[in-house]
Amino acid sequence: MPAEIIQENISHSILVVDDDLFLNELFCHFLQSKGFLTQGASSLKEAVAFIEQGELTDLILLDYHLGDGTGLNFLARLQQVASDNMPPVIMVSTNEDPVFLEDCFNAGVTDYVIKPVNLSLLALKVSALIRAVAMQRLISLQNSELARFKRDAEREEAVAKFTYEYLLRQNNQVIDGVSLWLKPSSSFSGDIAIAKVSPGGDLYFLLADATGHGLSAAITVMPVVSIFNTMVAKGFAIQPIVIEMNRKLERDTPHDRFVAAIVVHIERGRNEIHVWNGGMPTAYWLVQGGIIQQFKSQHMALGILEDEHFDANVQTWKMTGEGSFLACSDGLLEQENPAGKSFDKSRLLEIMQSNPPQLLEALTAALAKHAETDSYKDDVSVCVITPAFVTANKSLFREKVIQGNIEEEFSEFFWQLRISGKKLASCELPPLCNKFLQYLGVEQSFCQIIFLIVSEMVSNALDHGVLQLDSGIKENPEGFTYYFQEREKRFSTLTNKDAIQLTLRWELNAGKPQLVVIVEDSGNGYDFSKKLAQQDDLLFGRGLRMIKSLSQSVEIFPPGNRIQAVIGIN
Amino acid sequence: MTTSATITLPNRFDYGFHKDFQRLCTENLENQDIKEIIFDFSRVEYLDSAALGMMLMWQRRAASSSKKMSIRGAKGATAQILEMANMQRIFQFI
Repeated sequence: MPAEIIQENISHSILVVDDDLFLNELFCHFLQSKGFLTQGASSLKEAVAFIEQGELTDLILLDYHLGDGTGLNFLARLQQVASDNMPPVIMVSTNEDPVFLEDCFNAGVTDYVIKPVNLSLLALKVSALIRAVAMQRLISLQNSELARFKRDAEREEAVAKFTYEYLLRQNNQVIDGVSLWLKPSSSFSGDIAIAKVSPGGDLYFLLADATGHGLSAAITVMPVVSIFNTMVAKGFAIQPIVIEMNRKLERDTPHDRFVAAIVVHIERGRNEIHVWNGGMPTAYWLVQGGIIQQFKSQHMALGILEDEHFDANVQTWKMTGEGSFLACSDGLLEQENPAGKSFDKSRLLEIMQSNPPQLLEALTAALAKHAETDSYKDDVSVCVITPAFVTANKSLFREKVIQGNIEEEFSEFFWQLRISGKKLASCELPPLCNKFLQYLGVEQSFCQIIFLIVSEMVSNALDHGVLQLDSGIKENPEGFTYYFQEREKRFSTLTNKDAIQLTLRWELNAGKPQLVVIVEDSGNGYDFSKKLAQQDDLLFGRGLRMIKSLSQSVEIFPPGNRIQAVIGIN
Repeated sequence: MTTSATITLPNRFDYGFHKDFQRLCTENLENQDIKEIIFDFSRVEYLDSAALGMMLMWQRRAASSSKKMSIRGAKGATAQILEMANMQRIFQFI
């Protein structure tokens, strides 16, 4: 708030100390006419009593000669009472002796007026001092505000740092073949790198760089990290993971906050590397110093696009030879040297192509040499993954981390559900079954396969068993529509005698886990084998064929209303 | 230049998507400028034989009007299911 406004808004009070009652009255009256509040004191005793009461005053007009003492006696007392917060004092006297004046100023007098008093000069002096007082107050107010802001900022910084370190601590899975180098700048500015192995034994890696720094960066990084961890642990592929991250950030964080990220999945079974790069610098697949493949940013950063416009497509590369994957944050490329030149892409390429034995160390050493400091402007993170060195165990159940120990467990279960009547139309068994399996912690890709098998078995039981529809109708797009209209129609005739029962049994068979799925319906039975023999077109019996190719064995029990599939775990 | 249209398939690609699928395919097949229809599987996690049936049926339509249909973005179990159903025989995977 500017001083003028304070001066306008607050009436300043002035203490007039003079034993001459006429002059005292005159000064008070004059100052009141200038808009000040006044308080008169006609003796040293009265003036001292006033300041000892702790009464607030902005300025003191002090006559030297007081009946019961001098102005200097008063000043001595004033300094004791209001040492930290001395109001300015204007001394009024007839004495012009320089030695006397010096004594007055040494005692704390701010200004001096000679008797007989020139009132307009007094008014100017009073106004100037009052302005100075207001300014002084404003400055000390602002100083304390500033100190408070600084304390708040430090506290927030500490929270951000704690959050960041917590995230790293919680997710710091040390994996052979993965080298990470993370150098946070003085205040946390939003880089995070995490590697994690999925239950299927595949390596997942996340390198993210959030906008802003401190707490606001930590806030956007947190959901990204937790989604990454949860979904990798459940065995999801990259695509649903980035969709979920984007959806969450877009919905839950301010629109000017987003997270550039690169998400990598190294699929060992297929020897493929999948990369989703949204707003991060180009990543590379290197074989002995040669750049074999580049993974440029093909997408916008997470948290910008609405779900329906978000593109989750990944770039897939068939890994050849003993190569390595390299990704970095823009803090590496943009770090300047003292001359203001950035450590740019050409320097990065040069180092990669020189094929140093330890790429990560070579890069970080070159960066330190370039910057001539180890306190960087932005967070810098670099990651090198060598898939050939990654060793991880496959497990169908996601890990259970209990204080750092990974505990894997196998326990049998049996789950049975029977649904009848009109509920058959509205209750979707496959998603229900899927939720149950996910709840038990079955890996996502296995859930997807089971979902398909259960869907096929249940829809066959419902369509052909309970509703007695002929799949021959589905010959063309129109038939397809007709088939499903007919299906809707027959739903309305369902009674409680119509039922489907789904059983899941997870068991060990000769030491190997397997899942047995049984679906039984209340229908008269339908003969698939006959239909399969009649039609070898892709359009018919595809469901059953799919069940057969995904299962170890499939058995249909007469009269054809009970089907059992055994799904083995590789 | 070949003009292509992309149809982004939902997380659960089954009969429930039938109406949208039919509408999107019809629109794109009737559009003379579009020579290729790309099915984007990047969001698909669950699919069933009804979905595959719809694709095969519309592929026949497309073939009869000399239009190409391709699949992209299928990963993990989704890719496995598409491969198992021999979709690569009639759809190009891009």
